[in-house]
Amino acid sequence: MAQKKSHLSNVVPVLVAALVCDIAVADPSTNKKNLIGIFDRINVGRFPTERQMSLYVKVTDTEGDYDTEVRYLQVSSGKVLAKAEGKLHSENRLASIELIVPFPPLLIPEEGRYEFQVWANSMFLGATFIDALPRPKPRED
Amino acid sequence: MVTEIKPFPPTIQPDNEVGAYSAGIPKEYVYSELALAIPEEVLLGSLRDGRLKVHSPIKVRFTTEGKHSIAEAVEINEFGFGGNISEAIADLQRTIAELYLTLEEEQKHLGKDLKGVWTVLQKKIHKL
Repeated sequence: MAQKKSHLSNVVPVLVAALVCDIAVADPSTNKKNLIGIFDRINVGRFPTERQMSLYVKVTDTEGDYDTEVRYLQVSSGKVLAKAEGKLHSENRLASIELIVPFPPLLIPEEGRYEFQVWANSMFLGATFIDALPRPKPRED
Repeated sequence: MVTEIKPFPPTIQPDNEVGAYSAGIPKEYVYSELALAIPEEVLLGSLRDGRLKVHSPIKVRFTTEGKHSIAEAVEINEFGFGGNISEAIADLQRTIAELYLTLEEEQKHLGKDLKGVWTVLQKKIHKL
């Protein structure tokens, strides 16, 4: 009996960059990416809160078709709070692929670390994180 | 609140100006209940070490012992530990990278078991 052949690539991509920022936009004339307000920690006045964030991802060494997923999760509990899915196709392993994922306001339920994990064809490629910290109280002088 | 965003534009347009491909902005936000994602098993596609490239994904299984998470690379019987799954994965990535580099250096002194591990690692990891 003939086996059903998966169309998804077995080539493991390399995650070149993953950055969290306030705004990520592509210049409409050149398609160059502009990242505004790159950060890896936020000070929060009161938990829980929500915060709009964008993720910039760059991968290379890709060939063929990929089901791609970005998961936003609370590290302490492993709970996925949001995810973005999409498909990628690449014919050139030497080229790079850039993704901009502008998330809607994301939940930050409590103090701690939150991770954006990048997956392709169910393979974990890597992650970047933000730390949510309580805002320091103003000094009473 | 849980948020699911899909999809990226399915077609990626070549970007001739900068010689790269780009995928843009999701067109749709979907709000739905997401599963608690503590997977039993994942495929590891990187070691967070610039010297080493994962050529074929490494199967990793998760278990917990009390408050500790354990990530096991089942094919080579190596473990990573941490307070959560993310820490356990990072520890396992370091462990596998160190193991690869150590076994590469100690080729002449490997016993039968470690030779078996080295054979598996060579199939899965390439040194850059």
